[in-house]
Amino acid sequence: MAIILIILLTILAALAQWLAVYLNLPTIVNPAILLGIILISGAVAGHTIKSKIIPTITGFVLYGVLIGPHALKLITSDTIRSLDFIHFLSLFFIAFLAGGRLNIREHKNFYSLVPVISLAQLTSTIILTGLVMWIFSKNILLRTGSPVSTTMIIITGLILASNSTAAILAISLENQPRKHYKDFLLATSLTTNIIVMIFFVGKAVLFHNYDQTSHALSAGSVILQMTVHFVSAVLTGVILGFLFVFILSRFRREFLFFILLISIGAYVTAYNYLPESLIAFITAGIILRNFSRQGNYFMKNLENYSFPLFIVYFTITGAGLNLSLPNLLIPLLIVLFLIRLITLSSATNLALRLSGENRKTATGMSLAFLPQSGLTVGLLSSLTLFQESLITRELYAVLMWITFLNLLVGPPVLKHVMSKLKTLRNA
Amino acid sequence: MESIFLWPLIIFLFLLFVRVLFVRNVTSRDIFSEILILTISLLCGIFLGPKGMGLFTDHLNIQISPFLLFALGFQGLYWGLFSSVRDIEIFNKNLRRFAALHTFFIFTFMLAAGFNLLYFAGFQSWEVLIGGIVISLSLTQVSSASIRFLEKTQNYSYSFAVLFKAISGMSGLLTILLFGLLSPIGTTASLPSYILLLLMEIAVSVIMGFLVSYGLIKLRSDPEDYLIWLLGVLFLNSGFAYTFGFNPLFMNLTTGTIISYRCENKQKIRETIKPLVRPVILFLLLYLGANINLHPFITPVIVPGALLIRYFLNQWSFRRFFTKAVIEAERIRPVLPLLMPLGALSPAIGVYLIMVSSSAYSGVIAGSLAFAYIVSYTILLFLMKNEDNQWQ
Repeated sequence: MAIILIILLTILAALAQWLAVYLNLPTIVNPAILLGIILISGAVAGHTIKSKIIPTITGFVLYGVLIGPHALKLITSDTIRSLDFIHFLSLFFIAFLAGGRLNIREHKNFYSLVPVISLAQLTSTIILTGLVMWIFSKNILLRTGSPVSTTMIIITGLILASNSTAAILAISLENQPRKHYKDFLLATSLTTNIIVMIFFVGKAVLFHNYDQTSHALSAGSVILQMTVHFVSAVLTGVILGFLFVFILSRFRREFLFFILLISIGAYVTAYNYLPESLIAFITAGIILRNFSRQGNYFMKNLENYSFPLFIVYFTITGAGLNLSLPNLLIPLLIVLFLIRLITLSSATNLALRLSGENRKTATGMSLAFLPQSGLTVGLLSSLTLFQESLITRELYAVLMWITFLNLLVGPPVLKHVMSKLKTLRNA
Repeated sequence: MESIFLWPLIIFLFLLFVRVLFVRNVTSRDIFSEILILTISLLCGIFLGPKGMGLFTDHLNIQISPFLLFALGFQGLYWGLFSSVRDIEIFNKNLRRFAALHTFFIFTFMLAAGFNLLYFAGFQSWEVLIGGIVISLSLTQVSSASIRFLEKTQNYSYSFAVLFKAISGMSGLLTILLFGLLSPIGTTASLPSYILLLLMEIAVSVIMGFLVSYGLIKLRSDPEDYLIWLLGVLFLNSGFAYTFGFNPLFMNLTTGTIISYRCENKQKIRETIKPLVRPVILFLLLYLGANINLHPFITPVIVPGALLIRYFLNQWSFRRFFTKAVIEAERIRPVLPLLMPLGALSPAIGVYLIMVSSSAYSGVIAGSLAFAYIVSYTILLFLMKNEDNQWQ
């Protein structure tokens, strides 16, 4: 009965939109109404599609695609812009939660293994991506037919190596795998994403200065800028973290208000510095978790109430995906998708086996990093602000489709992995 | 911009003065903490707003509008969840009658006082009407925090707690009902359109109430599922209210009442949204601070004048209507100061006024309400100190 009501609600809202267009009336749905529809309908869609294999977030994504600009057009590009702050807030909240799940003292054994896996994933992805793009470059990626730049290869490799920490958080909430594995997957995902984001700090100053058309700054200046941005982000995160520790000890009931206040400040001042802001919030979460006596209990409580955020985040991400793709690019899409699958799983599997993990566990966990979501889309979107030599329209379309496919395929695989990990013993 | 650093300095010095001279025991420490956190929120809003750093641009206002509508609607929904017939029947008939009488008494006299205050302060006739209604509604409601402070005083008794619960609950409920009935006066041109608007408002909120209660009844008992349905209905109701000119507090009160009436698991439902109560009030104060418009003559007249009148009206109402049939109490006078703090609906009503009216005077009235909200707690502190001195 609930699903019928939700379908009716969505169809009615979509009909109202079409009628508004037909009668030449304002077509922008009030963001509050849209949020209400997304929350209720997205939740029902997620629960309906949920099964032993498919997690709820797949339902959210599919619902987002259904009501997005490519289907029912309930959410248009203008509407997505009006929900910008909410998407931003949910992304940072998730980053804060992810950081807040890491107990530094408890998982000292991760310190050596996690960075190795992350670097292995990144290196293998970039190398193989470069090879593929060199093969496919002429007549497909660049209309001028000129060779693919190193910058473009590195950007593509980094985008492909990024994964979805939000998906790991969301599915682990649903599945409750063993804590050791959950924390390990989270730590690896965060480390990989932070390394990817380092390349994009300073409004992607590294790529912006090393594409073929401009070399405005020297190598030293670029590295200095990147270091300043990264260190500032970490320091801001540390300060924020200790501020949260203080607020939690004195104003616990008002904590959500302060998070909202700081998010508003971040949105207004640091909107164009997405990687730096994410790094700051992750760091703040780590500090709160590890330096506050109430941190662990508070983070668990916060996690229990984070479900609405995941609904909003994944639905808006699904709706915001631009899925137009010329048929010519489909082979490249398939190859890059498979390359990502092979490199991430092989690198992770190899690193885990070398560290002494048993074969079953290593094979299972090697498939856990497939999902991609809002972070990847955010990084892609930041690149489109610059000249097309950084990322061509064709490549942008391919990477967007890969993100969409990983958003569909990745979570069920991750859910399957987490179910398997429940039954395996710790190494 | 230069005055923006003066404001925090003055307020800091004032708070320091209050802390040193008036905070002596556990109760006054609690009240002072309340004043501090409310002041911080308001100051943050002033600091971030156009009069400070100017971060509250039109673009940001549009982006945070869903949260604003949510915060307004939340007040209504929260009251509605505690206002089913069964919740009201817990109080005996005399207590209910007294609470209602007290509320209407305060409201009618505050309405008259509000009209006069605004008229003599130089407002235009339309602004006197709307502003008077807004001020009287804001100053009618009694804060439920009074019960928390009462528990820490030496005058505490169970009877007093029930009395305050009844007055706070009834005043909140009647304030929202009156607000819902009176707010269309500003937006409709004729009586038929007023009635039509009211009927549509009630119809939509009743349908939403039945829809959501159906969803809540059928769900497994996870807090996250309750939260999604409640957040969803809040956003939907408040969005419809903004789009069609309804009152978000009244709509969500109706929906909340229906949910409370139909759902057996209402205690769990209430527990689910309880953590949002404080952040919502502070967010409303933040928004008021960002849109504050203080008048050097009107604000100092409205705020103290209105609170003084409220103080005397409280005393007068109890002298006029309170009997031992309401509750068995020898001396009611020592706890009367606890009726001073304004309820959480005050900032909500101020924000609603800013959203529906773009005139400069709406900012003045809303800003005055924000200050009145904080000053009412400060006055409570003085009155409690006075009572303690008399007790000693």
